Amino acid sequence: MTLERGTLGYAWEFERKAMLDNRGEEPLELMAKFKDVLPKLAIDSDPTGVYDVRDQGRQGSCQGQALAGIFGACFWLHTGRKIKFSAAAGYYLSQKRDGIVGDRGSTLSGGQWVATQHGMCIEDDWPYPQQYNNREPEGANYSYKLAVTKPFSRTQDLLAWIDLGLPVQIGVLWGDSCDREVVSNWQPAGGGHSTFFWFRSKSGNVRNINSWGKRWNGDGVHEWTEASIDRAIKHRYSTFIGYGPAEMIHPTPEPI
Amino acid sequence: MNTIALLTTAVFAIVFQDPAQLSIVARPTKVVEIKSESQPEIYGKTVVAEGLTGASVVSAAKVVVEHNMKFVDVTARKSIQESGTLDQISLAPGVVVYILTGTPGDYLIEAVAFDPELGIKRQQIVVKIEGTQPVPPGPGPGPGPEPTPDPAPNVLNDYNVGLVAFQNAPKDPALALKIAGFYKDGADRLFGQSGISDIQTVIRDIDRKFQDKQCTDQESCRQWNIWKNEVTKALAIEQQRRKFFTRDNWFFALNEIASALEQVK
Repeated sequence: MTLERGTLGYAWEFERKAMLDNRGEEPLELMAKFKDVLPKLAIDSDPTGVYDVRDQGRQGSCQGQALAGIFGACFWLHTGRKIKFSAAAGYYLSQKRDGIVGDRGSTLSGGQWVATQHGMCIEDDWPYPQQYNNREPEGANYSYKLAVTKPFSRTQDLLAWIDLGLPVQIGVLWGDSCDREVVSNWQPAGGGHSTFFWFRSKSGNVRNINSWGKRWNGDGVHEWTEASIDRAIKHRYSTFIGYGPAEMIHPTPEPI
Repeated sequence: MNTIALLTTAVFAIVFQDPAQLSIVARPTKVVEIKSESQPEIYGKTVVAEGLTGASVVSAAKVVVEHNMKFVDVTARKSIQESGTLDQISLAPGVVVYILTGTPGDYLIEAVAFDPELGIKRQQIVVKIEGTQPVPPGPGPGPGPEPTPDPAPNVLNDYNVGLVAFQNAPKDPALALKIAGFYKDGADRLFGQSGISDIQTVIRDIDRKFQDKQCTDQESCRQWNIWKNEVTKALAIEQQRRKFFTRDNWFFALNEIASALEQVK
């Protein structure tokens, strides 16, 4: 079954791979920081149990949506708490860093700068507007930061990352081969789109969390086979980076 | 404190043969713990240490991990809440040797290794630290101190909620077990067991199930409500003491409450 396609917005033509390489840690070294978690997370869990799928609407904010989702995933992994992070901050601040003017998307390198250097804020501090509006609100608390890997170059490392229960932000060319319940034969076609991988399905495929609302494919999530990931990871316009809550910086939450 | 391995007894081993190699050998042993100001030096059977204030022989285990991986890490746990202390005493290429110390009992040693070429590998082994568990003082013959009403020597209290949960619980073991189940299920859901959830939802669900419980009588219900308030208060205080709870902390704290309730007689 072909799924309806929403708005894209990964500006792959502005991507700065060298910056992602320079600022990210080696995946295997960062992974070592997560191996002591006890007990082990069930990696075939349904991510919608702890994450509310978003809807980017008609804006090219997919990268900001994915980044905000990744912050939510990492904050849950770290504290067990569910918080909604600001997709607006993820998108508009990335664009500012990228030097992209207007609603033309953003890059994962811009997002990496927000996540690791500038800092992210919560949705309440910078709510997502109905229409493109990059005016930054005053007083947003940008004190949330994450650890990030260099771009994955090997599928086995990416899968090992996923199998530790950690999310991966993806930026790929999204064509017809992606508009499927299961992306089993990824093809390099279409415009750029960013989403994030988190957990596996019961079948062993990797779950990909989209930002086209909860009704897209039933719950807003579809699956990628390992073969498709392997094909996409090798493509020059693809970017896959892992985020994790190791040494995650955040304000002290109120006791529950 | 400085630790020197001296002698060994029984041996347990797991060895695997495949490209990714990781094996653990663990054996009970005795070590001498030396309290001194300086690093002790060993000459034959003589130990020299400046500022020596004491030495004692204690039960321990020697753990040898052999591997051909890039990263390896070893942990030792007696229970969910109690870890042993692993002191690395030597490191050669592919071989790491530790001395495990802790309270007597069985310890699960787990080694996790990563390698870019060989992937992830895990091994586990159980080793015993010999000795007897401390026994709570009971009422002996003749005059002695009055027995405490609720001795709780084995209640885990790492998060300062176990004792509160045990000591405030009404003598209602059936309902205590049921309520323990609410907390255990909640803790499991933080790691995707039987569904996945966030801590806010877990706490809400525990509260809802607690409200829906069937007490034996009104007095019992009143006592359980007091119990709930005390436990909630203790959890909040511990969160503030630790600054905040990580997901792991929540898992262990909720299980601490559950295991305390399971001991209610």
